Amino acid sequence: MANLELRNISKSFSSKRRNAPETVLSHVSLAVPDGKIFCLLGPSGIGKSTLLKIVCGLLVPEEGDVLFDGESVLRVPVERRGAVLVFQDASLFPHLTVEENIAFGLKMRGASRGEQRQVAAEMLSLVEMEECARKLPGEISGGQKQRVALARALAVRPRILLLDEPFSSLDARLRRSMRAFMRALQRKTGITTLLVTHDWEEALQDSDILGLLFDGKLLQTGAPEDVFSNPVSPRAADFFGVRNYFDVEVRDGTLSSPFGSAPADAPDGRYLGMLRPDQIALLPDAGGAGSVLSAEYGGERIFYDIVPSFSANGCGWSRFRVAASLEGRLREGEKVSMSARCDTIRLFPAESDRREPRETESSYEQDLQ
Amino acid sequence: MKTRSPFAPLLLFAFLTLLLLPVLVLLIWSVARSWPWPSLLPAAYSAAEWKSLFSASSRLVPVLLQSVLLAGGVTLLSLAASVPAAKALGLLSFPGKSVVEMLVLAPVIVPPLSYAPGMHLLFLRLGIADSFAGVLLAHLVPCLPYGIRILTNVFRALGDRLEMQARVLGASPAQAFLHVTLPLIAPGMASAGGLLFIVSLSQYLLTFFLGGGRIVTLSMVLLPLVKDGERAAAAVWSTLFIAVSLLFCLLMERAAKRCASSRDTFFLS
Repeated sequence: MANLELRNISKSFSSKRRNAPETVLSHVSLAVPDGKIFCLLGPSGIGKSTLLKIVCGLLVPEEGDVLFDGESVLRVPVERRGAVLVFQDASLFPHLTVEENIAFGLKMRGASRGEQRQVAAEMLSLVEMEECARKLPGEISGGQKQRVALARALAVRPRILLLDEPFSSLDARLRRSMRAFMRALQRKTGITTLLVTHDWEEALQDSDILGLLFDGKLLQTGAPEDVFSNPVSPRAADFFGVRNYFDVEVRDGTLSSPFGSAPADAPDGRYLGMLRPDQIALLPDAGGAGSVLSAEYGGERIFYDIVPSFSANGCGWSRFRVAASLEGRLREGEKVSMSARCDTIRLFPAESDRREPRETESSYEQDLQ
Repeated sequence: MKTRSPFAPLLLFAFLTLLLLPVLVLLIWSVARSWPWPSLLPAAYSAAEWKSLFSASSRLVPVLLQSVLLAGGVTLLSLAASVPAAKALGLLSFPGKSVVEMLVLAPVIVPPLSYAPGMHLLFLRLGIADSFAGVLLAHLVPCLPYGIRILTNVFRALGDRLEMQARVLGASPAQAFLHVTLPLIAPGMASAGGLLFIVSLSQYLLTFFLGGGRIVTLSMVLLPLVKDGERAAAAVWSTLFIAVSLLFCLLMERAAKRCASSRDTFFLS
C-alpha cells in the first residue's frame, strides 16, 4: 500500500502518418492518497492506458516523475516496482491453470511451493472461485477470467493496483456485478487503485477521486459529486452526457436567462449558461416557450428533446434535452413551458468553445466517444 | 448426428494416391531386382540392398550419425537465431523493417550455386572449410529464412501483451521469456524445427562444396545413386531419408507438447 503521485507527466509517440510526434499526455499531475480509488475518465484512445503503463514502468515518460510514498520510482524496473496492471482482456496465461496463474507472481519472486499454493488458495476464496482452481483459462467465462486477473494481481500484494477498463468487455449485467465486487474487494484490501474507464456512470460510482482526461490533459479532478455538479468548463460538463447551453447576462448582481432572473455573484457581463437535463422541469402549456420534438423512453425516466422558442433568436441551442418522470407523458408536438431554478445555472465564460452538435449525430456518442 | 463432408472420399483418395502410393512404390523399388516396363510389378525380387545396408561394411552408421548431427545442429542453431530476430520483426516497429523482412527471404531466392564457391573460399581462409562446423554454418543460410519467417508469424499472433503482463507481475525479462513466451511459441518452434531439419538434410550442393567430400550426409549418398541409375539402392536410402525426417518431426512435436504443458515446469505435478 502506498500513495501515488504523478508530477507533470508528458509522453508522445512517433506517428507514422505525420512526421511530428503525437502528444498523448501533456503535463499530467495527479495524486492518489493511500487506500483510495482514483478514476480517470476519458474517451477511448486518448492516453489513459499509456498513463497506466507509465505508472507500472512499461513505458518511460519524456518528462515528469512517478512517486510512490514520495519516492521517485522511475528508475525502478517494472518487475520490482510493485504496481500491477490488470488489462482489459484479463491477459491470463493460457498454458497455466487458474491456480498457477494466480501463483505466477509469487513463483517469479522465488516463493516456496507451499507459499504459492497457500496464497493461491487464499486468493481463490477471496474471488470466490475455488472450484475453478485446476481449470485452464480457456475453460472459464469472461467474468471469471476478470476475477482471476484481479486475484493474480492481488496475490503479489502490490503497492498500487492499476485497472485498465477491466470490465468493458463484459455484458452490462455482469459488468455491474463485477464492479460492485471490485469495489468491495478494494475496500477489503485497501489497495491504492488507479482505474481508467470511458464509462461516466462507472467513474462516478466507483471512485473516491475522479479525474477527467481529454486531449492528453487533465481537465478537472475532485470528488465525483463535485466534478459532476461543478464542471470547470463545458468540455468537462459534457463528459457526463448531454448538456443544455444558452446565453446569460449578469448586470448589477442579477442574472437574467431564458429561465428567469436570480441574484448572482458573478461580475457583470455575458456568460454561457448550462443546465443538466434533470435540472429543467416541463409543464404542458399551450402558450409555452417550447414544443416537444421527440421523446425517448429510458426506463426510469423519459428524455424529451424540446425546441425552445428563444433559440430562434440565437440565444440558446436549438434543441434542449430534458429528463422527466414517467407521469403525465407529453405528446410529440405538444407545447410546453420550461422552468428551472436559476440559482442552479452553471456559468461559463461567453467565449467558451461550445458549438452545438449537428442534428444527425447522437450527442451522447459524440461527447463520449 | 455426425455429418460427413462430401469431400471426405476425395481427401482419402488424394491421401492414398499422393502420399502413400509413392512410398509404396519406393518400398517395392527397394526390393526389386528387375522391373521391366510395362509390368505392373517387378519380375524378380531381392533383399540384397537392404542386406548390404545393414552389413558390416555399410556406410549406414557414419552417414546417419553425421546427417542427424548436422541437421539437428543446424535446426537448433537456426531456431536459436530465429527466435530473437522473429520477435523483433513480429512485435517491434522500426524504420526499414520491410526492407529487412525482404532481405531475410533473399537466401531462398538466390541459388546456392551462386554463393557456395565464394563461401568455400572464405571458409578456406578462416580455416573451417571441409569441416563439420563449416558445413553447419553454410546450412544456416538456406535455413534461417524459413525459421525467421515462420516464427515472425508466431510472434505476431501471440502479441506482446502476455509478456508485459508477466513483467508487471514481477518476472524479469528472462523469466517472462522462459515461463510465458517459450511455452506459448513451442508448437510454432516445433513446426519450424521439423521444416529446418528437412531443409538441412536435403542440402546437396552446399554440403558438397563446403564439406569437400569429407562430410557425407544422406543427400550426398543418395544423389550419386540416382544419377547412376542404381534404383534399388536409391530407394533404400530414400526410405531411410523419409524415416529419419518423420521421426525427427515427431520428436519435435513431443518436445513442444512437453514444453507447452505446464505440468513439468510449474508447481503442480
